Amino acid sequence: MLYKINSCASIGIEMVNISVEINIFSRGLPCFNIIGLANKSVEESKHRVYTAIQNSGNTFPNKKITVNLAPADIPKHGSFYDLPIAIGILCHILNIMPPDSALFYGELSLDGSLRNTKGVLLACLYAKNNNFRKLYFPEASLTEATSAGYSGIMPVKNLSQLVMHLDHGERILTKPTLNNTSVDARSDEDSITNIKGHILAKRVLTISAAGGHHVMFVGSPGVGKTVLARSLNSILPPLNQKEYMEVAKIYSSVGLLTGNSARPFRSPHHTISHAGMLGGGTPTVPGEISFAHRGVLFMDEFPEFSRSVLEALRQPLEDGEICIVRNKGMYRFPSKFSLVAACNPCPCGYYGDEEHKCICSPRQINNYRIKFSGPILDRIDLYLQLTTYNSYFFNTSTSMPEESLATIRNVVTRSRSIQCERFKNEKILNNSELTGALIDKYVVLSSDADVLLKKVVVKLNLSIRAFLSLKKVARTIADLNGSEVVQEGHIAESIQYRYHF
Amino acid sequence: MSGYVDYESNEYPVTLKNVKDAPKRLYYRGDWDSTIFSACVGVVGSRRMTLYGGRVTFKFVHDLTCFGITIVSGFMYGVDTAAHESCIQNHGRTIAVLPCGIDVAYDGMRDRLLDSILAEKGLIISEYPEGCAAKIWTFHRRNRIIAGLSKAVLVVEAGLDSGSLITANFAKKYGRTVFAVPGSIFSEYSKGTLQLIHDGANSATSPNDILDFLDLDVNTDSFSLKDASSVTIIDLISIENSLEQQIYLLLKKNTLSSEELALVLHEHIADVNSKVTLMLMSGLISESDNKYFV
Repeated sequence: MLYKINSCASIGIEMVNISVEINIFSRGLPCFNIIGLANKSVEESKHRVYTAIQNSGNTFPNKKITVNLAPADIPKHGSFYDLPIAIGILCHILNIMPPDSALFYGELSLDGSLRNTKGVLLACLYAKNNNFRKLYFPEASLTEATSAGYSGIMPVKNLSQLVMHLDHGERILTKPTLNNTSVDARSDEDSITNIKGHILAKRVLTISAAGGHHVMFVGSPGVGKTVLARSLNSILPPLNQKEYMEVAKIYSSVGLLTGNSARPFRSPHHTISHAGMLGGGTPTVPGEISFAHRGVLFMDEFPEFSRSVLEALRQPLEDGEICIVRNKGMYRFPSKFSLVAACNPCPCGYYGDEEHKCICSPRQINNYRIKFSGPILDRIDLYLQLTTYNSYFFNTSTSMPEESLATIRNVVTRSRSIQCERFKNEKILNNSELTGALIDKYVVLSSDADVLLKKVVVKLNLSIRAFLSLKKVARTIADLNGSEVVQEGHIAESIQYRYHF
Repeated sequence: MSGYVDYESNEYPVTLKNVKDAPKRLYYRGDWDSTIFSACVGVVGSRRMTLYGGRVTFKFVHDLTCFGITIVSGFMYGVDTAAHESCIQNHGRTIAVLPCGIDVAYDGMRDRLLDSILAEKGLIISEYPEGCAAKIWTFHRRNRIIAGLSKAVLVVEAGLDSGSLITANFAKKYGRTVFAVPGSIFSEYSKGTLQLIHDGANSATSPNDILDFLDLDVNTDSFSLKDASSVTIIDLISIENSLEQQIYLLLKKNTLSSEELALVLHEHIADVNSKVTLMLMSGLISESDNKYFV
């Protein structure tokens, strides 16, 4: 007797159809084999299926069972084939036909219950897009599944419940769950207003949040680079529904979806491998740049990252996605993130600090800086040298009123919506993505701003790259002020944040 | 042009001749003109010059070269380089004393500085023959030539264990007057100079201190001219808006970053940043290391 059960498997963050064929033969020695490039986790599935069926009060057929996972040339990994395999065998035991147009996806526990399985969101989207009527999946993954907006979800607690459903038509109830995506999940713990002083850095972060510009902080150890970087998330607007789905797909593919709508903040350690940063491995999973999609990628000790990792960032910074080609196929992961890079001014960290002695030789300092020169710097618009807070100014700053979190958030949100409106006919979302012709089109300078810019280019000997960065940053500053035309003051302010080390 | 001058030669600088362990022979590059040695001041300091050190060096060297004084220094990073550069900018003559053969480039980056020293009729000298590499001890020995050539030695910034203090010691030994520029008691790079002052060196708080010592006929006209121009700048500013004026007045007293300006003035950082850039562009203020000054 042959049963065909539909399931699906993820290739990167996309799903493909997998047809699970279960053949149960009365003749021949009893055995249980899985074929179709199954790896160890799939291979072990037969023990889980066998035990789960037995423990659910059914007798496992003592026959020759062959399971084929088609198409047979895609390598299979993961534990979610447990449910389709078990369903095929249960259909034989109960002598029923499997439901039409239904997908089965989930991992079994030995007691017959279903466990939270990674990729449920992707499976829901797949079922929705390919018009499957139902998707049976573990109830433990219900929260993840609801955000897909798919009507045919069938959350299953355990095999016994599924048997009652398939055999006796008992209904599976889909409890409505709270959809967290509308809740503002930005924590106040890392709020930018918890940082005292550092008004210049906060201004830079506000500009970055508004225009999506990448930032680099240079400063001595302990000056507050990390805390500042973390606070960027608190002023970024929450993910909208479209962005949330993009992020959720990435996190679902590795089973890390938490269901809140805060923007991701990733801070990989500088010893990270090429594959860890960009994505890769077996099975191919997204890397840190994709986990930071629509959020913040914080790279502390920027020059300490390996050269190949730093250089490999160029393409994702430019295109907003990474394309990984392996012999098993090609994977595309989105990777539009705000980069916050932090580094010391020199290897010992105290170059230019008046109160500590720098012990680096000029050559060491040169070698350190060479690491972050070149094309990667093209893509960072905002640079800031952080200095140790002088206690004198620290005291005065307490009496100075600072902008509230709500004010900053409002200003950022407003300038983001201005950009949204401006670029509605373009492929880009914010000012940092402006390039060549678009800069000329959208960065309209007032006449005195133009004069100033020309003067600055000559006087400061600016490169083309710095020149274009200036214009983009000035555009964002103008947006923060709600000004349609870029004024002289906006250009003048943007000059403060140029690369000048 | 290069060559050498022996101790016995009439061309040999008189000031250096008096020194007990004067080099037997001086190798040089450039046009040897004995008048260059008539009034030399050594300017030395830390390799890791701070912003303050840079300003001091620029000011002192600028004023000294106005009176035709030759600046002697060691062609090292930091204060040495700043001293040579400021001198050249002002079209003064400067002598770079190398710790190695005159043809040995121990740092390719500064070939340009070397050329511009020669272009302004300066000299590159060394007691070591051509091809001789720099060693730790040659840096030490080189310092005695700087001290020997100079009538006075100005130490701009120095750490407690720095080479500049060695130069100052040589100068003391040879009976030269040592000037040290007082600095912040918190700065690592002023501890050496403060120590010198503590031990009896003259404190140099203005280029006039050195000019007075050298007993030069100070031409006050050039200074009054400078003051006059700054008055017009203030007038110019007072008709501008008040934030610019406030910034200008603060920076006249202090060297501040834009962040510090904003905190003191209680103004939004964006406005301060924008104003500061405009003032920088119009030449009202200067910037170094993200700090602004007038």
